[in-house]
Amino acid sequence: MTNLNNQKLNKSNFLILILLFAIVASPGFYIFIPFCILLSFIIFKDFESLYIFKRWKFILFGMMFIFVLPLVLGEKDAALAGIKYSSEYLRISTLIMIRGIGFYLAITVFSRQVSVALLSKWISQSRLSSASEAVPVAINLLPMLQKNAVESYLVFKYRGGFKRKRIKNLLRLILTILINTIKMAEDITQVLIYKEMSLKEK
Amino acid sequence: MTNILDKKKIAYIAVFGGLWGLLEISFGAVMHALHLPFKGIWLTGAAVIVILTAYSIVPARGVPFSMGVVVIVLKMFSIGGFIFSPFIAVIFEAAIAEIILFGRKPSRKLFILTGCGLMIYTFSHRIIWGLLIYGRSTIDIYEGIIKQGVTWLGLPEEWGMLVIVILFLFHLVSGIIAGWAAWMLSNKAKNRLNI
Repeated sequence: MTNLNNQKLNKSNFLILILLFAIVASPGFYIFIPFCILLSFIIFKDFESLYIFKRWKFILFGMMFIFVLPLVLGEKDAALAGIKYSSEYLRISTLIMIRGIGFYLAITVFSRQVSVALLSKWISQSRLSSASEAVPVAINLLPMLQKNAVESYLVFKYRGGFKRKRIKNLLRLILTILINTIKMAEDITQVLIYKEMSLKEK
Repeated sequence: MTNILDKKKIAYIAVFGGLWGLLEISFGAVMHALHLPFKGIWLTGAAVIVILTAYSIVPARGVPFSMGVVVIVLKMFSIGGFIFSPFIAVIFEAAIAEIILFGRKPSRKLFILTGCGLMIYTFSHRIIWGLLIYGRSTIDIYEGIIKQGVTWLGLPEEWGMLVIVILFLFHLVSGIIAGWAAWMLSNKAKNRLNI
């Protein structure tokens, strides 16, 4: 059983959060400062977070975004090797890419370091106490919800429900899933009430 | 009595939040992978029906937003990991639903208004997400794309705005339909179960 009292943010988590806000708030080319600090931190502390740079599709997308956009959009006020491009859109596309990559890397590193236990502790300490109690119940119910939905769909499908009056039968299917979900919620309510009564009796 | 209502609230947040999360994880992932057009409308429409059905039975403050928190946690730890765009969409949709509903008595007008509010957010999601992540430069990019597209097609510049207005109206009508469907389905479900 995880002891939630021992779960807290360490210094590196705080640094990532500060860098994240700095990346969002930095105007213009000042974004390079927090971006370079973040990149240095990731290279030394969590190199595996840079896995996205191994994907050729991402690199291709980045190159196209930075280099193709200035060739297509805006006023062509500059030239390189005879190819005209828009310097304004080159600046904009570079900044957008740097900002996006920095944001993505910060979120990736942060989410790799945060555990479910820490997240549960934050939610329970916030004013959303209902959500903190509901999250573990929802996680456990997911397989049953999926089973209900799939079984309802298969019953409709094998009875030929989607061959005629498709919209009407689709609404009936949604209604069936909602009714089953409400029944499940009522059962869970009874279980929670009984559980609390049992604890009070003890 | 308060304790029973609290337990009912937790149960409905868990079950309906789980259902919404299941739709986001399964259909959301497939639709994003296939790059289907207007996927936001379908997913938001499903979210409207789920949120409003739960709210019609437990019309309490905190229900829609707590459901959004449940969805985010489920999506964060599902296969596919942490994808920021749906994360922002879910939390904003839950917050907008919470602000519009805010413990008010369920009614057809309220449900349609909630549906419209969520669909209008879906329409503006890309711009809001772009502003948040990429800064104000995003607006320049979108303006440039619209101007360039209209120029290539040989159309007047005003037609670019017309397309945006048509898209906005399309989302608005989808919101009205989703809200009306949620009202109709939730009432039928309650009648069948005698709630």
